[in-house]
Amino acid sequence: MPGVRTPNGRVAELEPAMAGAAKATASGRAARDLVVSNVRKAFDRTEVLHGVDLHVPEGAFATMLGPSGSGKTTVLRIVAGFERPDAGTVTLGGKDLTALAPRARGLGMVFQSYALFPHLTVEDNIAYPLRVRRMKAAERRRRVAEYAGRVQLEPYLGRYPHELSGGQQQRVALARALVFEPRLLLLDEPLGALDKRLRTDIQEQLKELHREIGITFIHVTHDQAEAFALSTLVVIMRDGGVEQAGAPEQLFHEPATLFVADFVGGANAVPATLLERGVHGAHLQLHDGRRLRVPPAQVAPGVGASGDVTLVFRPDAGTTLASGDEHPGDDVLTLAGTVRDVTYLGGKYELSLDGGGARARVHSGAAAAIGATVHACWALDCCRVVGQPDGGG
Amino acid sequence: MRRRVDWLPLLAGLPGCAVLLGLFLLPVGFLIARSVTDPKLGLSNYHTIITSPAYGHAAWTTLWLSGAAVLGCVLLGTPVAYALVRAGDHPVMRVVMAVLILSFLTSSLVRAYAWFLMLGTQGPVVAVTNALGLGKPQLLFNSFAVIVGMVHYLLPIYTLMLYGSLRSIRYELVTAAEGLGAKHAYALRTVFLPLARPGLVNGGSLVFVIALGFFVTPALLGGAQQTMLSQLIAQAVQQFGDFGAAAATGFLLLVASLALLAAVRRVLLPKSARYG
Repeated sequence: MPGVRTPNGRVAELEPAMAGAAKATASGRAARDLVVSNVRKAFDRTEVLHGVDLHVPEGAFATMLGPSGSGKTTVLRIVAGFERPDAGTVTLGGKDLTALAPRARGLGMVFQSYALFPHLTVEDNIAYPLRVRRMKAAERRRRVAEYAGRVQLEPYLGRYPHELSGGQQQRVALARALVFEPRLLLLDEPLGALDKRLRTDIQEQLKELHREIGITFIHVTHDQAEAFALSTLVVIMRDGGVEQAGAPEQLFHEPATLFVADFVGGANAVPATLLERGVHGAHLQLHDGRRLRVPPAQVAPGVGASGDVTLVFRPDAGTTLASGDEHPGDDVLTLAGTVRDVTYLGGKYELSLDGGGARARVHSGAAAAIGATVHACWALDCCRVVGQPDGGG
Repeated sequence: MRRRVDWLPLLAGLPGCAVLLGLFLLPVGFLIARSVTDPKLGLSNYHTIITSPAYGHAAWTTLWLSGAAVLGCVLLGTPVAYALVRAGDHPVMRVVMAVLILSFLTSSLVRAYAWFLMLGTQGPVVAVTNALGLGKPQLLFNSFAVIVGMVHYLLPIYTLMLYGSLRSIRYELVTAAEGLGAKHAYALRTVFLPLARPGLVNGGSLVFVIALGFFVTPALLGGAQQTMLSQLIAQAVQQFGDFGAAAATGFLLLVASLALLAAVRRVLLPKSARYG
């Protein structure tokens, strides 16, 4: 596990896992980590960021993931300098950027709409940040050719943006944001406007670029699959705060809250009471009276010694039981329910079960009839104990 | 069924199209016909106009007064249009917008008379200069008064038209340029201004063509030296009953306006229509 779990899941520390990151830290200079500390921001007296903390190690591919309105784009715009925070600081490699204008920060940014200059050719669009920096013509041409090559745009240098497809425009925006070799690349939902197939291609290209160039990428999306496909560090945002940050594997296997579990995997949740915690695990009582013991590693940080908690478990971690085998053992959670819906996922089915007090979804190799009674089970080391829904873990 | 649907817009537009074509082509046709037949068949009217020093002077006056008025509009109106686009919600800009629309709706005669009173010897401007010990300058019946009147008439047209065009420019592009390292002024010059150019040229050439046909403003606020072509046309008809000369002048003014417009747009609007 590359990530280090933190007590409240708000600050993420992550060992650089990527080749580019390893190269950058091996060079010996001080790491240019991006640190966002206690950033607050209000628009029209409504606070949209309530003290955001973020630590992105140099060379990471970090993604801020969250539903719309969670504040992820505002954080990105504050890092870029397009918004000024009401409180808090943004530092890069120890240097305070908070009061600097966007142009003084030297960061690359890809806008959601790409923001290509319609009156300039692809070549002049890519050359724009170099002209701003008064780079000599020969060096400028060499640099434009290099970065156009990196994103396979050489044949289109003479075209205007409106003559390009969405994917090509996106690559122009990328080349323009990278050509002046910024210390950080910010991407605001750059794949949002593209169709699914193209998105997969561009995701691979983005990862390749990140490996080759080795600088920190910070990306914003509401798409969990995209975040997991791209990132070494995922920051889950909710209601203007960081809910949890960590490697994708960590978020998937060790969600700190019900919100995270639901957002990254689509979790089942049943309420339970934590009776006591010990070295051998947490003793829980379900509302139907059943008692379970969950391994200690599966109790989220922040859960108290006792009290009301939530047991979460993913549909794909469970199996259905053949009739006559309804009591497979003590180290499993079993649920029985009436089949409400069946969805074919390709190779397997997802059954929606209604078990009276509890509803749950489970994956199954075989279809089931609507209205049939099905028994399903989950190994307890795949279940996770988190706080109550509004407790925030 | 399909054919009916296809014909419907044409049929609906037919009366309006007939009126528009009739009101443009017929008068222009009559104008040309009259200019080469009255008083006798031939180009004598055109010959007279081209060789007449009075017409030459009026043509030059028309051109430079119109050019000066356009320059005034561009210098005063462009920042206003930009301010309206960038800060249209501000109370001050709401008032500016209302003033623009109101003055746009006021007749040119009323506005020319307003300036006549403002700049006259009994007017407030002279009163102020007199109080400051600067004497009583003659502010009326000169090029200055005509240009002031023209700019006042044309400014709302230019500003409102430019406002409509600037509003369609995505300001995010300027933000992006600043994010790429550009200073604000550099971003405006290299991104906003080129994108605003079609609007500037369209607005500028529209008010220029309107200015070429001015009659009331120079007649009221100008002196003999500020006689414009439209005044000569009126004079030819009202004082001399010379419809042939009036028709020929009108036709030349029309041709000259179109030629100037085409030339200006050709020089100032390269490839602009291509931006998506």
